[in-house]
Amino acid sequence: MEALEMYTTDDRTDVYTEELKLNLGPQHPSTHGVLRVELKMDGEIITGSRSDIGYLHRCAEKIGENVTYLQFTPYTDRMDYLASMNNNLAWSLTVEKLLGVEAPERAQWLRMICAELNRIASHLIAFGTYGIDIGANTPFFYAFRERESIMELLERPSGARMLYNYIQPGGVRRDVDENWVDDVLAFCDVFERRWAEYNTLLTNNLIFIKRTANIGIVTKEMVFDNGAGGPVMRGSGIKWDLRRDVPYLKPYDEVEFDVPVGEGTHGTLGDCWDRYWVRMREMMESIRIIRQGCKAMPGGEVMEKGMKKMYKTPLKPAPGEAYVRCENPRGELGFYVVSEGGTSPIRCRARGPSFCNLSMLDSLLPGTMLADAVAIIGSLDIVLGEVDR
Amino acid sequence: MDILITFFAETLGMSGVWPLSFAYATCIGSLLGFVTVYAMFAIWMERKVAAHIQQRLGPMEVGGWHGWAQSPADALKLLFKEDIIPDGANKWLFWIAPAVVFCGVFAGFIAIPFAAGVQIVDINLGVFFIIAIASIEVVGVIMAGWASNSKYSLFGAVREAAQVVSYELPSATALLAPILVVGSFKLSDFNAYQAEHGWVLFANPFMWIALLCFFIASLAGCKRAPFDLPEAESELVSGFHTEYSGMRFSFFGLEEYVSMFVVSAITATLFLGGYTLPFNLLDVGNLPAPFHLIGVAVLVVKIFAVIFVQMWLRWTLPRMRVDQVMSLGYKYLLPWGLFAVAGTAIWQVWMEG
Amino acid sequence: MGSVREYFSSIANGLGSAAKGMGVTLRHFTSEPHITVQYPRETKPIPPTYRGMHILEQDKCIDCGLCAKACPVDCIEIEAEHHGRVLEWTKFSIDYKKCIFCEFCIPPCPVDCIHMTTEFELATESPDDMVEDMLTWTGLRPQDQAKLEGKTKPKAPAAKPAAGGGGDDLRSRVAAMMAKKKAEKED
Repeated sequence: MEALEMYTTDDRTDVYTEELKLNLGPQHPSTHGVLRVELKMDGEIITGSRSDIGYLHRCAEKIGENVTYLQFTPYTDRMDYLASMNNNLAWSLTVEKLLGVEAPERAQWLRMICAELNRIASHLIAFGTYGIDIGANTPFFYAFRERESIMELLERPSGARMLYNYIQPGGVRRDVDENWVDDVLAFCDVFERRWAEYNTLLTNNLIFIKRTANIGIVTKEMVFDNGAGGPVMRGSGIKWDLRRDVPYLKPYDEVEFDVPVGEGTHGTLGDCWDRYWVRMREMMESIRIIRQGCKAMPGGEVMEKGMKKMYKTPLKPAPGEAYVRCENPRGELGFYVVSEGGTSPIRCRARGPSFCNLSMLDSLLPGTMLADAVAIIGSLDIVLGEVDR
Repeated sequence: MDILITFFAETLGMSGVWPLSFAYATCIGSLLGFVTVYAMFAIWMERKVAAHIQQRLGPMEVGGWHGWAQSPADALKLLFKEDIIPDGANKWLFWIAPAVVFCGVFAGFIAIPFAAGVQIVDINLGVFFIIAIASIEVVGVIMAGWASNSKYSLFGAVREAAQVVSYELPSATALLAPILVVGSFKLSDFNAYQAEHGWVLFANPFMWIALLCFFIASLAGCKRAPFDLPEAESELVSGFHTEYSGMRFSFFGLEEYVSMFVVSAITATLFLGGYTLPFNLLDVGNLPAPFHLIGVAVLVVKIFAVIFVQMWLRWTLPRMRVDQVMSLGYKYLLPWGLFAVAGTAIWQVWMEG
Repeated sequence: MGSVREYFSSIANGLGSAAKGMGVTLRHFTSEPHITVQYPRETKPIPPTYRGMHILEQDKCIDCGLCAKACPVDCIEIEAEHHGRVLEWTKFSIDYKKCIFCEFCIPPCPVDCIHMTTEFELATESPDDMVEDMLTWTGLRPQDQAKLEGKTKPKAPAAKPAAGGGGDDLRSRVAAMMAKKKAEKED
């Protein structure tokens, strides 16, 4: 596959040319939320870009200073609304670290299964919407068919289809019903067959490969300079996954799974196709984890006994601070909480992975064409709720 | 056509230029009616095909049975919409662009033979006339993009101009191959030849290459996926017709489906037998009136088969980037089209003396 | 030579991958069943743990206010006057413009009188209608009045007003659901 040649601007001096300023505005089908990118273009080539965020800022961190620790959990749901189990998990672990408690074993296994199911759901959206950005409208519907099954599965214990508020400090909200584990395993079987279909439709399609290979190459230096994580980092060949390297949940130590990294299969290492392929393989790894989790999950309580009273009386952790980081589908999500002994934290900060991934955009876009800009933004898989909070 | 002229001249007793004028008016009026009904059906079909490929249902509400009345309802709604002309738009160009675009593709109907003798004008250079007149729509699209006073529209228009104009070359080149086999440009001669000798597609192996090249080139000419970057929804919102609303917008939609019809008609006539049945089961060309109208049904079935393939491709393949489209046209389709023509010429000389 | 091979292999690759993709879509077109649930004619089954609109068992409520305190967005407003153990109700409203359906109001209740139902169709025609009053009676009931005045011993609580009285609106549907739940519990 020949590399995309960089086009030079028009050097002739007898023709008056001007740069075109185009707004890939806040209202755009492909910016994955309300993101505004100001582009300076020379014909189809982008010569400069500046991203503008803040359209979805809802003062979550300030609100966190005024509500109790438990009450902040639904706010974390709404930050990265596509992976809300993972957000709840990060927040719950942070509060538990502050309090010095640990969730019971069954709760930890349930947390892992729910987090991995949500990871699959989030990657399905990344896959489906990436297809739409590139122009194939059909894989989106297939992805949502699977996502519907996941949402139904997660609706049964938590009570909601998307903003679960299920993983809470101390454990999980309630135990799953008796058929849940069997239904999850049935879903895993169905999903494996469907995954092969996605590859036929999009992954191995020559047009898709030509649109995404050698585009938006993220080098290792860029990853470290910007703090990128998740598939963006692993697509550039860096084999680092918090679930394996800094296991924040005990069950992650006890299950076996691989960490897929990009290999530059169809082009340069770290291009859009590599990131996309990392996400696809991560879905299969999550299925592996879920299968093992369902088999090995012990019985028992799902909420730490001492924490059950937090619903009636607000938690009052001892003064101190805690920072816990978790592997979000988009990267490394961290919560930093400072307590002074009151019922609300005095500072609760979310380190959103999409914010760091997005900060690479202004260095990735210049030199590409407009169609590639859409492909690059799609491959970074950002959620503006997490960028803006 | 002649039947109509005789009808107006003898039965109604007109003379001078009137029989001809009335005959033309009747033909064009009925074609316009057909085109409108066809476009509504084609839009419904597209939505249903897309839905079933995507495992959903498509229109189901309006009209009861699988939402057949969705398209007329949409057309009615578009008629009632407010006619918004953007501030700073060039009003004259904005107004005339949809008309130019539609007339360009509609004029292609003049040469298509629907059945024996059912053809408005049997033009000597039928094939090339259709290809040439359909390129007027490029002018209309550029007018639309420029007059909209929007950068996104301009993008779409410029991309479209480059794409459609470039793909006329492989399109016409690939068409030379069946012309060599049949030996004439007239579309009615194609039907006559295929009634005797079977479909042109099976005449020699190079025909398959020619069909593939022409099919892909015609997809690009109709701005259908995978070449739909002029109206690339995910990048340019709606491309050159972003700023159009109401009936003007529906003209562009109509133009897309009408050009699909014209291009499928050429494919069906040149490669797939036109209005004759396979193996000439029923000699449609020579049936007495009104049975010769079976040819219309045969041709329409073939056209819809080709349109189904076009829709099927749209919902399967992603979109290509503009430089990839150009490279496909010039580096792949044009050489292979020429190769098909050369191969056909050699084959004709060698096989048929 | 490499680029010649690349040229032909990309043609083969392109046509092959397109054909395979078309095979998948054709299979879906012809044989896969549709997964559309034609709402509102059909609905999906909803699990009983679903977090929908609330119902209040007003007889049990002791006006402790724990549910209102637990709410992250302060959407519950309760007002009642205590006459000893008897409550004279003025207000128990939930503002569904604010409610985030997080379910934090359910666990703190000491008498288990507030629940979340599976009712999710909350669309109304004006913003004021989105403030739902959870009470079925305000003020004092006759038996409570009598009890306060010491005239008679309190009778068993009067039967609930007929469920679903007066139509299809949200309040009636929830009242019907409440009555059905109670009947199921008593069975």
